Amino acid sequence: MSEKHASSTAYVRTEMLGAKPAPVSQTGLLRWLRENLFSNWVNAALTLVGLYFVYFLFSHFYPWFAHSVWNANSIMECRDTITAEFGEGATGACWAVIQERWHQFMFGFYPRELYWRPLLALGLLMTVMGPILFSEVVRNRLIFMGFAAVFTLVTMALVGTPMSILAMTAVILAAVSAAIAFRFSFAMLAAAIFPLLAIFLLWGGSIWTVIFIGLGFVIAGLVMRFAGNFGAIMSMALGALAAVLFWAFVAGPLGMLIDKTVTMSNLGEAAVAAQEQLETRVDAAASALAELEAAPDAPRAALRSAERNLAGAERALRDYYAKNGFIGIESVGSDRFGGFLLAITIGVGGIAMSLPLGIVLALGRQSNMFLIKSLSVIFIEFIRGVPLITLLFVASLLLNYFLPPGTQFDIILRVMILVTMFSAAYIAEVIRGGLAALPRGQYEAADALGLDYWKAQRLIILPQALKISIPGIVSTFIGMFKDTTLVVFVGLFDPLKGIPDFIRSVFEWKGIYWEFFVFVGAIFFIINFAMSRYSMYLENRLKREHR
Amino acid sequence: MSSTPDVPNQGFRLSQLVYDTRYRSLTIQTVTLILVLLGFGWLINNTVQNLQDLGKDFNFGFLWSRAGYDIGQLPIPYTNDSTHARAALVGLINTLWVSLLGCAAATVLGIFVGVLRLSHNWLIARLMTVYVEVFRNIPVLLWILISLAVLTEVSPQPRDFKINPETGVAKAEMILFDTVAVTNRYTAIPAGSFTRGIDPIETPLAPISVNFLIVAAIVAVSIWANRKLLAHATKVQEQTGRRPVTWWKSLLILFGPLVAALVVMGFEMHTPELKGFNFSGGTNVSNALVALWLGLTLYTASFIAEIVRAGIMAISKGQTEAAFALGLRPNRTMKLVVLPQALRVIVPPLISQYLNLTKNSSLAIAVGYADLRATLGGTTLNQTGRELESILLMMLIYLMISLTISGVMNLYNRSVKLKER
Repeated sequence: MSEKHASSTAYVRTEMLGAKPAPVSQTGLLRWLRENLFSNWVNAALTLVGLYFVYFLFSHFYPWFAHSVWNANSIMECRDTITAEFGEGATGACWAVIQERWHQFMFGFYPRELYWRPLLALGLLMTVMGPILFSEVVRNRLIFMGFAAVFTLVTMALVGTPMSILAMTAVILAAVSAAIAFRFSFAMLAAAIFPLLAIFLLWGGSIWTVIFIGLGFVIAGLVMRFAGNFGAIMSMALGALAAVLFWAFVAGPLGMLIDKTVTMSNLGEAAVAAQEQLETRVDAAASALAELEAAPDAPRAALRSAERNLAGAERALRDYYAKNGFIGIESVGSDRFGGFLLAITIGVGGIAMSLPLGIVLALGRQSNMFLIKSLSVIFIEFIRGVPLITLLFVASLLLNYFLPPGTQFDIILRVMILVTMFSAAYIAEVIRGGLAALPRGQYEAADALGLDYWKAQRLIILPQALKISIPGIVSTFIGMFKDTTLVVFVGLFDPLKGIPDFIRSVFEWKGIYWEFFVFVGAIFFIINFAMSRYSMYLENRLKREHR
Repeated sequence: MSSTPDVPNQGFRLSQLVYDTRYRSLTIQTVTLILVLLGFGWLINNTVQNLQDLGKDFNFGFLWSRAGYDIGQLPIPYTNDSTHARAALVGLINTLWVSLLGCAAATVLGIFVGVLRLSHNWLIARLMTVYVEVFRNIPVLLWILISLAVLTEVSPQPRDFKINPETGVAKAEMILFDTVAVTNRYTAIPAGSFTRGIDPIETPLAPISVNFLIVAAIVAVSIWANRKLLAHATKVQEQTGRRPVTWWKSLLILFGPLVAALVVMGFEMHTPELKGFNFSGGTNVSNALVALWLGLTLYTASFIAEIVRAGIMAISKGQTEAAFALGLRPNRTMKLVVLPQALRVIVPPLISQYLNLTKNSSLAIAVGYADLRATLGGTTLNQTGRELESILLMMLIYLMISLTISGVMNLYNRSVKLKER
């Protein structure tokens, strides 16, 4: 047929013409501009407004950045340099203050020669968390651990850590990384030990403190295992009881005894005598103080300062043991913490403690038992109904009322406890959403398999509910990390207001604002933005698994 | 299994309390109750002991004694001869006031940003994304401090607005068509007054402005009448298929009575003017309030923007397409199809943002705004030394504010919620 057709027609094109190029307005940059910026009058107007806004920001802030001064000893010197270089009336950033005081933003008043300790703790945290954060992807895991090691070593070198400690850090991090790469279950073990190690590294003092805290948990675990056939609740209660008894009655005296024995074996006669004298004096001071307190109208202020002195003396004594017993490191008081060290300590501690507490509260709120449910609801709603600041005031002003007379405990720990309660209430609500979103069939299937309550929660319900709740949990964590800045209002030195106010209080840096805002804001942004991106990544990863 | 043997009739054994599911929950609850009571008993016992040691008692009587301090921002009459309770009330009203202003502004800004972030305009969508990410990821305290620093460090002094007689120009200029002056001590804004108004009613708590009540009542009635009009239009449309033209009637109902009332009462607008070294004529709003309001608004708006965006994106594209297929125009599609469904997704998280903003208003401590924490939990606490009573009372008040807000908003949520069978 085609042949016939061909013979009957005068001309048949045998090959296709090449496509004509698209009109100029439909290709390349012009098309993109038309479609994305000037698709109609409204959009064109919006684009112009947006462009003007960008120009406005740029024209205001660029000169300020361009006139930066990096080396100066005071803000007056900065201003003089800027005037000399860029003419009268020019403004510029005085980054010299960051150059001079960056260590206070990072570490607060932590002793300079001990900066390696928080850094080592951070490095260990990253090394241990890396595999848990990227649990499936082996390559990511290794990359992250390598990054952690390099980061730690470089920052340590930057703060002037001696070579021996650098070498030790390298060995420790390499060993931990290798062990985790070799067997994944080691990461879990390391994660369980890490908190104790971090406490030891950050606050220092006698190693027995952390060992005994850890021993308490080990004892609780053992008791729980042996009491397993009394049922889940009973065994948990017994475990907790055993741990509390151990901490209350065994740990303290035993630790002191060991420290003392080791100290004596390491020192000569004279030193032992001196040390005993010191101890007697502390005891005498303690009893004198007790007597004074018993007096009906003792001056309160004097009493408090005496109490503080006594606490200081006791710490010095513990330090003395630790140093001479060679089983401890120099202790650093909570008043030396500040800047991002403080924010990260409170943040990480709060995250680690609030997640388990939040899960328990969420389960309590879902419980069939009326009393358990109402207690959880009251706790959650109360905490969520008041501002964090009032809870921090409770930590700083009221806890002294609620605890037995004469109890003094660390302000960072107090704040951490209240921050934990605060974020646990929010996490409980997030997890409750996850629990409610699970189909009823999952609960029924667990029942049909004959699992008891705790087994069903542990093996079937919680893994799925937590997976759904991840975005909410991470945003609660971000919120908590941002809220750590509020500790400035109970007298701690947070990086946002506490440290800048402190720096501004000296004459050289009086009246300097914007550099602090930019510097601290940028660090907060990087950390929080990374967390939120990570939560998106995790969500995606788990979604893929789900299919 | 048709003939189950009878349950062995063994009587009650103690072990049943732990192993028998019928009794176990009772056992657990009893033990918990005992533990909780013991815990509270311990805390109360400690508190009593500590109070005794300090020679204090637990007594709210201090609230009725003379406060003896001055407060910067006064919504109701207060002098340093007033009681601590009245100081606390001043603080409470200030807290509610900044929260209200913040919620309103953050909602407007948040909706604006959230919608623009979905815009097809590449530049605008990117700019809004940057705004949301930057403001969400940095603590609100920083935004409040920056706002304060901008106001106090960068803004000109009031006297800089004075025109230099030699050059004929002032060092600083007012903004928004010469109605607002931002100075380093306060922000001067226009104020209205009534030349033929009715005097306020004096009550022991605070004077109540009759003029304001009249205007509010007229606005409320107008809105109600307008709703009736629109409902009637819808009814006509359903019967005849044609919607009567309503826009000019709406305008008339909404603004006619209001304008008439304002004219009758002799409403006048005063823009602030420089008299000597200070502005007068308008209202001078303290920079503490402006900074706190600005910081809270900018921060919370970024969260609200995300909520609005998520709400709109949660409505599937099929809904919009179906509405277009039915011949609805874009703005009616938005109003009748997308928004009613999106609101259902938006309202619950919006409630918690309002709650967050109200609680964050306690950051007034950073700028020196006289909120509840500054009066009851600040000066009163320090002067009377009653930490326990002050802080407990303050927490209770905040708790009541939160519960009220969430209660009211939950009522609203119920009205927009999907009516399920």
